[in-house]
Amino acid sequence: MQLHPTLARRARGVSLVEALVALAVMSIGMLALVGVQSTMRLNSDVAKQRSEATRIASEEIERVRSFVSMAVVAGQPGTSYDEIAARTVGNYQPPGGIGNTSYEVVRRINEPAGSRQKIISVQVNWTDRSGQAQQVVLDSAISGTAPTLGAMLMVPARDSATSRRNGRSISIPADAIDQGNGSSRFVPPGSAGVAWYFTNLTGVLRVCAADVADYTTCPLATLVSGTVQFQISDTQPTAANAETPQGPAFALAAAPGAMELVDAVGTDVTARCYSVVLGTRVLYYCAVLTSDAAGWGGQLNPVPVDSGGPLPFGVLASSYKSCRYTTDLPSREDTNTAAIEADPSAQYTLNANHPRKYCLERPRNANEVTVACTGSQVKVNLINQNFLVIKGNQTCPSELNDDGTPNTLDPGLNPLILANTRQHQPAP
Amino acid sequence: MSRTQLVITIARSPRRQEAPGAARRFNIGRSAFAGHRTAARGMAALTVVMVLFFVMALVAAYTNRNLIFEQRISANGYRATRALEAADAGVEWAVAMLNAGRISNTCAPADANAPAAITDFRSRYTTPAATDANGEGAFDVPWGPLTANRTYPTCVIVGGVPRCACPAMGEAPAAIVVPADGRASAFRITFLLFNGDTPRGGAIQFISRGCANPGANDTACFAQNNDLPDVDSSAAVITTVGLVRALPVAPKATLTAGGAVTANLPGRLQVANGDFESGMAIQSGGDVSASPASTVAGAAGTEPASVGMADARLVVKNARDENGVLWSAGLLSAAGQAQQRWFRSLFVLDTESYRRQPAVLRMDCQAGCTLNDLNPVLALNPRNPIWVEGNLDLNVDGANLGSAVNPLMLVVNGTLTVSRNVIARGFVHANQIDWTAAGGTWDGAMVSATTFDATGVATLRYDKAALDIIRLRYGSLVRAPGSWNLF
Repeated sequence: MQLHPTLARRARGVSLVEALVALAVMSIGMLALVGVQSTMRLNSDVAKQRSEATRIASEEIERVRSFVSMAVVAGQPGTSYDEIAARTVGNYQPPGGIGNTSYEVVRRINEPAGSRQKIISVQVNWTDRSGQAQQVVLDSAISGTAPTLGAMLMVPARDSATSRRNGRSISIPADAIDQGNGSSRFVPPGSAGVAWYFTNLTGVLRVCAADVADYTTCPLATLVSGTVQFQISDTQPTAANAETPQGPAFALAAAPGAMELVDAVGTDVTARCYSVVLGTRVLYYCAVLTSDAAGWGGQLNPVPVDSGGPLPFGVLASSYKSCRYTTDLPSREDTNTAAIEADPSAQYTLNANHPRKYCLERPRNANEVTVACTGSQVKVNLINQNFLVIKGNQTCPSELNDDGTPNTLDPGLNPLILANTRQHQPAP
Repeated sequence: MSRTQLVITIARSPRRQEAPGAARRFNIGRSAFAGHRTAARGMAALTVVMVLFFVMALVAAYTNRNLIFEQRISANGYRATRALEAADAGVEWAVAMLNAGRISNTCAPADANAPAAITDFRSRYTTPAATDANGEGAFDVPWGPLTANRTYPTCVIVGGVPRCACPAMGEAPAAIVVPADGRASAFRITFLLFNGDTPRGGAIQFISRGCANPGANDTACFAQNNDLPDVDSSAAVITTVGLVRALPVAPKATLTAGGAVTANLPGRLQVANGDFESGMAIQSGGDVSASPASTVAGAAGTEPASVGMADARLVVKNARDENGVLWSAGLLSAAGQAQQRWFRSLFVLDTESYRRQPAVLRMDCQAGCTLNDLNPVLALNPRNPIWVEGNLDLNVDGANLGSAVNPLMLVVNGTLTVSRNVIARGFVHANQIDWTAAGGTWDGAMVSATTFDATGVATLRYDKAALDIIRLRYGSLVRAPGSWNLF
């Protein structure tokens, strides 16, 4: 392409002016950009400072939250809950010289009445590049709980000196002899050479045929012990008689058949029972053996005898009734389940509180009525499983009304004893 | 091609097109340059500059976009931290409240004369489980599986002061006033029902949802629902708390004394334990001597109430520990350590840790306290263990202390004197117990670290139901280690 020479010269001159104008325009644009840039820089500076301030505030809360004790520990300042108090730290610079401002950290503490905690509010104040005051606030709460208490959840609630009798499990007969090696030996009355060994702390029983050096090879058993008392009279026994039966006592059948276990639940369940007559009462001790790891269940009946053999149980005056001392009250029946109760004449009672049948369970639905025993088998020793034997045409006495309140009309009652019995034999 | 030529070439092209926009640009150019040819050339440079500038502006905008992101990250980080701190605050607040006494509907301590229906936080949001299937002492929630009936304790923290609502089931929540500028943290607690997989009895699980700001109406952070709140930022923490029992194991005897039990005339003891599982009346580390009219009784049907203190099954003298060592020679021997060893064996904690538990109320009785001092504390905290630092005198005839529902739990670091005929139900541990009242009853259990001395008629009866409530329900709920996580 060919250009006129003058034109070419003029064009060259104008391009300079042109360039200058362009520069001017560019400068104005650049100025605007620089303005935006500086605002952005300020803002990102504030952003950085805000992040830093948030971190400082968090750190302040975490610092007080990591207390190690409730009370002040000598030589370790600032590590206790009691020392958590309001404070202000001025002119705080983040370590490492990375910051471009200094912060003021204000910690405020509020202790609300009625609960053990401190409401903490941490304010971090600073002045940004443009001289404006900036602030972040974090609110939290710190409960006054010693950190060691959490560890207590891992510690099992074990027995204490007060929950044992003389350092031994309460279920071990008081007459058992402490052997000094953590076990006690008990010779059941009327037995010939039989020795029962109890572990002192747990009451776990092992039944040996004779005194042995190492009892740990003898079979395991659970103890059931109690008293059988007698109120044999032609008049209906009263609640006062239930508290203090007058006798006369009958002996129980010869060992090891003093008690009889019927309707046994579990495999290979046998009861070896021994008894001794003491005045108007008979003490009995049973060791129930089973090969079932889940435990056993069933009904344990006393077998009183006279010269003619075992006493007959029935509803006639010539026969006898046995009543068990229990917490079982018919009136407390749950009306929703009473209809499907496995045993309508016996309330669901814990094994320890002497149910009609051990491992008696309240069915949760109609399908469970026929399921005898699903999880309440006897696995620990049972004590105070007491009976009262009366004449067959009388009813079992109780000093509780049907609704479970004490019957205060009966004279001569001992306020210390609350006697309640339910018919055990024959089946009600 | 020279630079000038290039300029011309480019400049010519718009003219040929004669587009309206191009014409305007030429008009502008005319004001600066005489001839339209020269103007065309100038406009070319300017256009290039504009294009360059546009590109620069784009670059700058992209850079700024990154800066804006950083600002957003910072602001969001701040909000997230606020929300997380609020969620943490919720957990801590709930733990503190679970261990507190009776409260109003704003979670403040209840009025001293408030009706009995005004309960404590723990009773409001948990109930004893119906069965022991999930372990002894398990907790349920009052609304069971019906989450529609669930109520939510919630707080808004304004300037470091919480404004809270603790509605009971079926109760409208107290109104919470939120500042107009919305500058406050908030949290809401959701109690959960373990679905048959309770890790152990005494455990409670809840979610704390914290928010950077309170929000409003039904989507507020403090609304009575479990929806995700409509706020700047929220965080949720799930926590399991477990019960550190105030009484880990109940004593088996109605009256336990580290030292001697005496009831010389006119004093008299009437001690009964009708519980089939224990049936022990008195266990003493020393001697037991009581006036002839004193009686003890075991479980019904065991034997007639025996007069005197001869029955080895009901009354244990000079008790030994599990190693066969006399209490006086072991547990209670070394002077300085005696109390600590004894106390630890009973409560598994040392006295200082026990005293400082969150659930334990402390009464300063260095100058001695009476029922006048105890009653207001007991009225507001019927289900909290009360630690009395000093001596306590129960000195009002007919005063009822504790009930079947809320039995009393007292630990007296001093001497407990029963000087009037009180009717008490619960558990007490004292360094020494003096019964000078002519009557009065104590249902539950009494433990004295040293002696028990009756110069009046002391009637003590074992109450397994009351002791079970104390053992399984009383104590501090604390976070189970490792149980909390964020989700």
